[in-house]
Amino acid sequence: MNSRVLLAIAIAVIGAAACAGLPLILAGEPYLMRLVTMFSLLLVLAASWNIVGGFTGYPSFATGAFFGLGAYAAAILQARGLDWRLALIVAGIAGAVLAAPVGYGVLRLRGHYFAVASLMLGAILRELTTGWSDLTGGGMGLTVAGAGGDPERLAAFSLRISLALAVLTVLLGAAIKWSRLGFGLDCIRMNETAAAGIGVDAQKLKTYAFTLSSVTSAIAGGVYAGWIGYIDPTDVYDVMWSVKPIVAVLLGGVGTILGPIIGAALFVALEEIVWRNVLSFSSGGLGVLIVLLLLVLPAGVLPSLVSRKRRP
Amino acid sequence: MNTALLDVRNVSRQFGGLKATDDVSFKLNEGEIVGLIGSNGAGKTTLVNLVTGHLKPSRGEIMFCGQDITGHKPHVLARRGLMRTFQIVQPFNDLTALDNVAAAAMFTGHTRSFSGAREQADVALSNLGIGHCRDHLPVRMTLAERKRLELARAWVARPKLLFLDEVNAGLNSGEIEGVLGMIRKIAAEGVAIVIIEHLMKVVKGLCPRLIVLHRGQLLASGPTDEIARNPSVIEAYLGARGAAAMLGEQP
Repeated sequence: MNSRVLLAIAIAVIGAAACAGLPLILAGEPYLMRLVTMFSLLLVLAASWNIVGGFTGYPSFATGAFFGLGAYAAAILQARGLDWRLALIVAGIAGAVLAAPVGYGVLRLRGHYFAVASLMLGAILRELTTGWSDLTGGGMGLTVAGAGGDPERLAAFSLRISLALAVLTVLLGAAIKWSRLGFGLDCIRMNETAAAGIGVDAQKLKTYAFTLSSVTSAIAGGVYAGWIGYIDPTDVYDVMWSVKPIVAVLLGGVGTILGPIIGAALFVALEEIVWRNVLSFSSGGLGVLIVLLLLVLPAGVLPSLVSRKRRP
Repeated sequence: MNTALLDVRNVSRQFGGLKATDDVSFKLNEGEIVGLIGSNGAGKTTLVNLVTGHLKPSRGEIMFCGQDITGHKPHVLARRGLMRTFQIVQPFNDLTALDNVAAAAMFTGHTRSFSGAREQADVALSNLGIGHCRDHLPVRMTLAERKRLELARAWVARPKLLFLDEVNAGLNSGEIEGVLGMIRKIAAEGVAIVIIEHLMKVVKGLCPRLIVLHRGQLLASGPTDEIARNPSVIEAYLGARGAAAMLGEQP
């Protein structure tokens, strides 16, 4: 068996064990449960962003837009009586339906232009959501039924499902990276002109990557809505939902399979440490720490460790 | 009925006020080797970009194998057998030489599997004399080896028509001899080749026919000896010395 299959199996097995065991181990520890759930959701977004920003080399700021879209799609459908499972699936479909045409259009832009255009998507959706108050509740927000039940059960359930989604997203990333699609994305990232010259349909492959990453981001939004129980536009369309995953991937290792896992864990840990110690300057402190880390380990923790080991 | 492999009809391309390509027409037959010459800025690379789909013509049409390909995308044309190399080599820097070529085998549609693509790439690298660079990243290869890598990437796609944009630029005379041998080998398989080249020795040695561009326009087209004697070509590009060198005479 080759090392890739082993890695995929290891991720799946450890992930499944964590999904089954963690809610039991952490029962009665709501703070830790919340932390692991936050980590899992960040990991979904980080691994999703990695498909577009890491594998393809297109620095997307649209992750938050699809997160918010998924949150609202799931919330609205549940408010109309749809089962939460179906609501999550439809949230994913909504992500794809928006991402495919938007990606096809916006992925013609490169570098900074693409980044700015992708950033706009979240702002547009936020305005639409706020304005369309008949459907979305506008600025008042929406209460979400989620999986229901008492808070403890809901916490355990949310932990389980967000962790499962995180494992699936990491595996999706691995499947893409090791496939023909991933090989094409590699070529596009390194040299798009040369890629076209050897027959790579860059527009199509980029749109696939963008769409797949948006599906998982949107489902993450749906899970978040069910977990928190109440959403409003300023929360789920917050630009931090786009920025945090990028920082996590940069910390862990861009374009790698395990980078998002390490990065998301590191990010959540740093956030908690700073939050506890310098409450009054928490986001500033976090920012300084992240900048320092990126200066010391510019390629991210994982590649820096690997290349240091390889060097004689 | 014998249709030309490539038929460029009255193609123009404008960049703002500049006519980079101005009403150019020419034909190319299967398996033919043609030199495309002209001074810097004459529009040689623009013409290659227009034919290979990297630029769209402002006017005119381009036929390939009897079909209209005007404005088709480069990846579509690559899959249909229209390949090019770039003046400045364009390798995929984080891929090994083998995977650089395997990508071309895979995405031009000759195989869907990684193992098949790598097998074909292996053959291509050996054929072009860079089998020893198989596992090297392009940064570890010499310029001559990277030029051959570009040729391997084009060759593995089994093109019908190949544009070589200054494939010898920056190489020493020994390396040029090697690359020329490779080009002859590719041509011997029946691939039509258009060579953009400034070295008259190379042009003369490889190309029975020449196309001369000057300020975006087609200045002349015909057998190499004839072109070397053409007064307007001598005046615009070759100069007396260049013409003499091409005819193999002492000036």
